[in-house]
Amino acid sequence: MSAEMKVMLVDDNEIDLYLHEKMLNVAGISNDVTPFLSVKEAIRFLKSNARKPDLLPDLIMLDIQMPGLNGFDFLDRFETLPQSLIDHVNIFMVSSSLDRGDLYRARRSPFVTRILRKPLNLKDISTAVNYLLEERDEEEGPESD
Amino acid sequence: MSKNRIDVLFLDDEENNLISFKSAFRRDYRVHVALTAREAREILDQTEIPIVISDQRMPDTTGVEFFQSIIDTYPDCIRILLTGYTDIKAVVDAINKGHVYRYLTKPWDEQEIRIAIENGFSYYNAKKELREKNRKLQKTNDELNRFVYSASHDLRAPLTSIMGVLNLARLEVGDFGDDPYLPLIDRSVKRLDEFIQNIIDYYQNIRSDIIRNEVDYNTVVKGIIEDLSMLSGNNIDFSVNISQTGSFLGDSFRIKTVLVNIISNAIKYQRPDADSQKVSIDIDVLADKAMIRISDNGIGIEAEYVDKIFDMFFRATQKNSGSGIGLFIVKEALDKMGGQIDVKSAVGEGTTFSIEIPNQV
Repeated sequence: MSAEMKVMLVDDNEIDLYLHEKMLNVAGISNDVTPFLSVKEAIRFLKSNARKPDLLPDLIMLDIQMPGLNGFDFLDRFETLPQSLIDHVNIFMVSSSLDRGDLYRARRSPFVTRILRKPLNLKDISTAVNYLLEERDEEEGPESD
Repeated sequence: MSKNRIDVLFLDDEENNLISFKSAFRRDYRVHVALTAREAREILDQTEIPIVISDQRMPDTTGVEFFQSIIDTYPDCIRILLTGYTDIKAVVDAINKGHVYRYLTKPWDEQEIRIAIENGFSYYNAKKELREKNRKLQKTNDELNRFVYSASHDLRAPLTSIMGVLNLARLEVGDFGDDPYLPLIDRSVKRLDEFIQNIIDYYQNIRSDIIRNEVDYNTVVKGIIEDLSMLSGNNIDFSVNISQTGSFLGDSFRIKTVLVNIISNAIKYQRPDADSQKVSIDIDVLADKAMIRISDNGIGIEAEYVDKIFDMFFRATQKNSGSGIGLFIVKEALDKMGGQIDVKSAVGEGTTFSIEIPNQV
């Protein structure tokens, strides 16, 4: 299941987008990664595909500091999207920030399931995704029977 | 010359008083006079007046009422009331409602007024200066906050990209393969990153308030050892002994900062030729404090340096990649938490740090 995961990356740094995509490939998590260089583009994509679950990502990896709209602005806009989309998507925040305020804010957001620190390493991302999958299996387990 | 003269506003409903006031003081001060409160306010609107002197008894408003009416608009202005001996109620009101700087009795004495003006003006300037200094300080503080915030991101972001590329290279060719250069880049980059993290830790420790949250030492130490595994490789023999039955409330950020620094030092300053490299971590959580002991069998610290290791930018050895700020941060963080640290060390045998952190339960 996991290699079929759809992942959306939102980061203003092209090198990091490249690295994270590679990392997800190597970790066997996803071969279906769509990078976005800005919050605006990412939100536009989600909005226009809100009713097409096939196109929606299972996971969004979101950078915190970006020029213009930042990761927290993304979360504010994400909140206004249709509930079905919100339920469908998981968000990991990924940042090089060591600012306690940022970490605290990210932790308090109901939409953020994980905070990962840059540089991303294979172990952290694998652990985080496995945890997500286990959680999902537990939720869906009884229904699929 | 006239520029340095003090602006004084005198309010009195009797024309003759205004004239005699003006003639007595016009050589020393720039005297403005007003017959009514309205006139006085008009003057205040146009000119910055540090000293306002008002008669108490006037037909339209009293001096106190006038002062009350200008307090919010001109809070810095020094208010001096002129009143008769018997007018005790006016004096009480002047102090309580009009917040006057002085009250002087009528008929006024020239010397007394001069002293009141001069002293009042110094007070006015001191207040203004203080306000200005506070404003500048606030600005500097805000700028510093912004600087550290953006430095922590802007310096670290490209660095994490480099580290990410190195991670990927390591994954693809298996621990850098035969490349002789990548390990050197890797080492330098990590050193730089550690330094940036230290600076940020230090700064956040200074500026942020103490927080209080539940601390589970088992989880904290486990996390730290995992985080430091890149540094330690698999060569270090950790012995961890934590006894925590009750709850511990403390500043988890600062506690982590303290432990990370001490443990990473214990890892860094090992003897490469030692048979086994050991780090032991013993933590005993009591009702009133946590007692922490972190020992290693590393290179040790020379006796003459032991007292200096907590100083900023002090480095006892050239052997390793320290920035000289780690233990300084540890000390600062412990000071903020009301904790203590003690060190015992012998060259060639090892070092033991004993730490106490109060339990805020």
